[in-house]
Amino acid sequence: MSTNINMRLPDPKGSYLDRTKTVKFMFNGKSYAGYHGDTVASALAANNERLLSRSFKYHRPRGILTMAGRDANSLVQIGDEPSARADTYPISDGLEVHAQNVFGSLQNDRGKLVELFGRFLPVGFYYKAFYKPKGIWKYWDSVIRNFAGLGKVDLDAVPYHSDKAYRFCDVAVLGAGPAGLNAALQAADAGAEVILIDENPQLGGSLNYARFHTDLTQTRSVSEKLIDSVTNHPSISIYTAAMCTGWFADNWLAVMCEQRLLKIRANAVVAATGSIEQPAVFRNNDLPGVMLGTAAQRLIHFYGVAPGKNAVVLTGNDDGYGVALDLFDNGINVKGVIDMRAQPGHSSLAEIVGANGIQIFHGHTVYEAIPGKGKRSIKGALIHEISQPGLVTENSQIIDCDLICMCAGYTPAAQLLCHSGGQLEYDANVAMLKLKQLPTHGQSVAAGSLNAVFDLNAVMADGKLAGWQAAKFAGFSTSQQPVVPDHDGAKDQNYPWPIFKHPLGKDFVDYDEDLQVKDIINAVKDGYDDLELVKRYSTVVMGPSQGKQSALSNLRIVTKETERDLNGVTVTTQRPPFSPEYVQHLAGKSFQPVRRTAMHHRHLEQEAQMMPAGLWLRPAFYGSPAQKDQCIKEENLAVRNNVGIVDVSTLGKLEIRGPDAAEFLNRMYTFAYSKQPVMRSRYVLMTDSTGAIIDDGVACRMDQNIFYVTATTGGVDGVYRNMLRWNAEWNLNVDIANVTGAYAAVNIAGPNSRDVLNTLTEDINLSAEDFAYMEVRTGHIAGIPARLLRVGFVGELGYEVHVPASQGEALWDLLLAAGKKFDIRPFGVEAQRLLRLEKGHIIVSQDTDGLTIPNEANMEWAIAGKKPFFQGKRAIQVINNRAINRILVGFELPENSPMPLECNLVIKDQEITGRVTSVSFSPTLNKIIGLAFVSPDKSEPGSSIHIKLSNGNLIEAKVCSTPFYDPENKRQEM
Amino acid sequence: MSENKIIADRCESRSFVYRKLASLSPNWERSNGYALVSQISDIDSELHCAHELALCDLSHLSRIGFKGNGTNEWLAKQNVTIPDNINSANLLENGCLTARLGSNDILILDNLREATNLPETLKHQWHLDYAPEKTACGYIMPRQDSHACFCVTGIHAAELFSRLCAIDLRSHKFANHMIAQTSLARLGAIIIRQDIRDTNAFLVLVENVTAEYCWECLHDAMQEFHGQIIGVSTLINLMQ
Repeated sequence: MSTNINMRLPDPKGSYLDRTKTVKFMFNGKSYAGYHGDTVASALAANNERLLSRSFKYHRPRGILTMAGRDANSLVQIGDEPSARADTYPISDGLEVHAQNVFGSLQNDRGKLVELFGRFLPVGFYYKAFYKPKGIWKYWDSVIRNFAGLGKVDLDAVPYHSDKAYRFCDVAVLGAGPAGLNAALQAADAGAEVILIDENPQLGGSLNYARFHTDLTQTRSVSEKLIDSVTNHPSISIYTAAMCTGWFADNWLAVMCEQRLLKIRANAVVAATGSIEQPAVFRNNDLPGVMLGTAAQRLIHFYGVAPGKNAVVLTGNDDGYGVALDLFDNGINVKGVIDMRAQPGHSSLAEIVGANGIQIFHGHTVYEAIPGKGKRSIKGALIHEISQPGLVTENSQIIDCDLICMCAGYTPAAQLLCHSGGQLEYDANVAMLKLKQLPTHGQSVAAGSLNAVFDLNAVMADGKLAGWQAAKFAGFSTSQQPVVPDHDGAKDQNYPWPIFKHPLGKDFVDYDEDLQVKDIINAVKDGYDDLELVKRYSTVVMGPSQGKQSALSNLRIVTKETERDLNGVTVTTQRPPFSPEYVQHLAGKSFQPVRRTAMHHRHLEQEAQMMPAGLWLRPAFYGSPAQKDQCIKEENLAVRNNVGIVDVSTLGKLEIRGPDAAEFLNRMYTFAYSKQPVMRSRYVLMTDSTGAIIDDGVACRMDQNIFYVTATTGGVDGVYRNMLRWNAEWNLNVDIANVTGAYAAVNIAGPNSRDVLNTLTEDINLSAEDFAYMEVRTGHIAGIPARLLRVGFVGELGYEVHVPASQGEALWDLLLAAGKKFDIRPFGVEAQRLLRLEKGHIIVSQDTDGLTIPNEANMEWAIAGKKPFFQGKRAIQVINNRAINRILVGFELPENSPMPLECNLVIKDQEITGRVTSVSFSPTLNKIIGLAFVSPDKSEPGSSIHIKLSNGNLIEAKVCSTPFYDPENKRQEM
Repeated sequence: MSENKIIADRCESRSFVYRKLASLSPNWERSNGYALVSQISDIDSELHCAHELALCDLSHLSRIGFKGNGTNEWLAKQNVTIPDNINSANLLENGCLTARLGSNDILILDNLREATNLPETLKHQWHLDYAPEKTACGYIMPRQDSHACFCVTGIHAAELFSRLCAIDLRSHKFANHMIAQTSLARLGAIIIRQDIRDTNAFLVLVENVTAEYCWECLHDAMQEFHGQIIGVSTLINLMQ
């Protein structure tokens, strides 16, 4: 196609254009000029470039179809963005646009050879081929993937900033056409705060391009007044060029607006999204030069571009005459209006068309578009007289033309409504899908052509009514209910059967997937006799346009082929998004909370290597990662032989306060707490209702009615929730407070820990006699109020010191300063885990799983059997009546054994009998030790077990008693 | 290490964001055991920011909570007026703020402009009144240490929150002294609207251990509106 021909209409045509600003861009390596406001497709059309892309399967030439971003014909590669929509993507200086899915050039795509083999590629061919001979799929997989790709993702693309934000309103109005504008005004006048959203850059919707009146100035006048009122209304916030892609429960609307995902919460929603014009189905209805009537009108009115020179308008309604007039008024030679209706209505538009000398063919259809050279354009329309629905007589003629506009009817743009429970069904009286049901969660109204109202005056009144209803939903007492004048609804808008199957095919139902009428029929013949099945088998409506141009025709064909009644038929499920979303919109600005202890930055200053623990960051060890093992060893030995300090602020901390506090703990935990002395701590073990271990810690009785309870770092939130839930049922007189963040805590441990603490405490006697193991004290550490717990998790003399979180860093500084002369050493989680392993202490969720009962973990000692109840007691009793099939034991490996990994399996007679839960090299014991689940018959000390390493080798380990270190617990109790 | 930071990390109590503040080379003052940022840039500039959009660390602000059976009655005996409704706050005559977070869950914040030490006084009195056999005065909630406290001020404050939080905090929808206990940047947060004269202002309380993260989120979201971090003196100036 020559590019020397200028298709631009004279100024002032083109409401989107700023003709003072010329923009130059590249398409397939060639420079083109357009105006600011042009899209890629409109600028190319102005340069008489009609070929935009090649089709997905047959690589057929494709051009403008909708000019609304609703079809796959316009998919192009723009910069690093694949599958951009050329008909809505604005041009900018230097923009690089390329055709995608082509082999060679767009003009001469070698992929078009596929069409020659089309008869061997019937619907569902991929289900029937490529699997024989065995193994051949690996070959075809790469071939098909090579063919199927649409565009190229630039893996080196630099991400740019995008984020999300909430917006709130009383009434959200989707669509700023005549119905939406009136709805917004009405709701705002009633006092509602309104957000008006439209995908187009300008307000007005169809008022900006559709004809409506014989005198176009009438339509424009209505539009200008409405837009002016809306724009200047203080209660209406306007979002143009904003795409609502999803409507979720409770009127949560996802709106893509520039670089931001807006999450709009509306009390009520008016859906005024209009309707989507539908193509007619005839041979070669996909070639460049065949487009929807509204696409031609958009080209003319938005972009000032003549869509062709010689036009034929195929219509099934009066709107086609409006298209013909728009073409005629703009100097395009209209060679004929082909009206599929045998008896047309009495439209004033039709009268003017006739009066202008344009030939009208009643009861005819375009049966075939005659391709131009290389099928890259059309050169004529073969028209036939219609004999009966879908069939034609021999009576035909060819009209030379380069443009065929299709005006076959509409389908409501109800996708958003359907996301949240709205439903469509086919109304045979008007041959249209109509709203059967609004979203199930209420507070929504539909208006305008979406609501099957097409007369402009009625549309505007329907919008007002919808705005009135929405304002009422949102709680605004409104004035008198607007009245919608009598109108014809959707009568005569849709031609009932604009589908003309051609014996030679290429009569496309679904442009995205290159599906012809015969493909849909064959899918039914293959046994897929339901719309949902046809959809999945044939992929109809599953392409980039998601059935916006194909769902209606598909529904008609499938229903006919299955000999069902069209009336009442519903469409396939419609899911978000309504329109493609950028991943950046979804990925942009997500929040990942991080919890840092009061001493976090001190750890970093001391070269700690941090590790995640839930949302927390904890020091794994201190020192270079290259020296990890050495660091952990030194930290371990520092605690065993001297003194170490570890930040345990992440421990869960709960306060249970009230007269029933002890009883509450009795019910929540397995041990007994009623007689627990004040200022003593006691181990707590929590099981769930199945008897499985879910948490542990210690409970410190601060006074008769107050317990300070610790929980695991990762488990405390669940424990707290559990406590609240159960006490809602038990209604005990307790107050439960999660004070995890309120206290910073350290464990200072090692034989010299008492000496270090002694230098800082005045009001706590730390001697073994006055402050024994498992006792609790309150006092001050260098003036900082503190709770001290004598615990033995790491198996040495040690104190957990809990202080107000804001003083945690000060405590750390003080302890390190005081410990300097003792050569105190901070230790991390890795050393702590090793130290407790040497003592044989379990870590819940590491050495237990979601099914581990206390007996399996040797925790029977932690169960107070005489208590009448604790959560999980009944289940444990039942389980204990059965033989257990695994038990947690300690094991050790011979010298020079390879190191197993946690979760390596324990094998007995080629059966899996357990797994390693913890394993490490103990520098104190100079051997590899661990905990593992084994079968009960292998649980006695001295038994031999076999562990399967990750490389498949089996190694032999010896079961031994725990604790591995200081079995008499003398060190922790000193 | 800057001189400013040395002062900040010598205090016995430390805001969880003091390092963030220290990087701005502010003027420090001591209060309630903390180093607080009194000012960062000149007062006129900070006042302008406060009217537009500003963030201020109030972690030093004395605060306490009481919760559980008997709380409301005991506080009434201490002449502390509790809001009638949950999720609302009350400004006491002495300038302290009482916030009702639950039916018997009360948060009390001291007067920023002129410390009354009411939280400390109540804490002391509670210890005097509390006896294990007589538990009708509720229990202390350590809000000073469980929560950091920030203040967001200015006409863009609600827009700022709209980037982080699903609650509509605009002035005509969220009245002065209303409270939202909600998710802010996926953190549990207590947001109290507490206007400072004609300036829109919100107190934001989040868990201390997430304060740094929250501060980063607020600071990042502020950039769209050219928000600034300001000192406590500026807020006090606004009150006058």
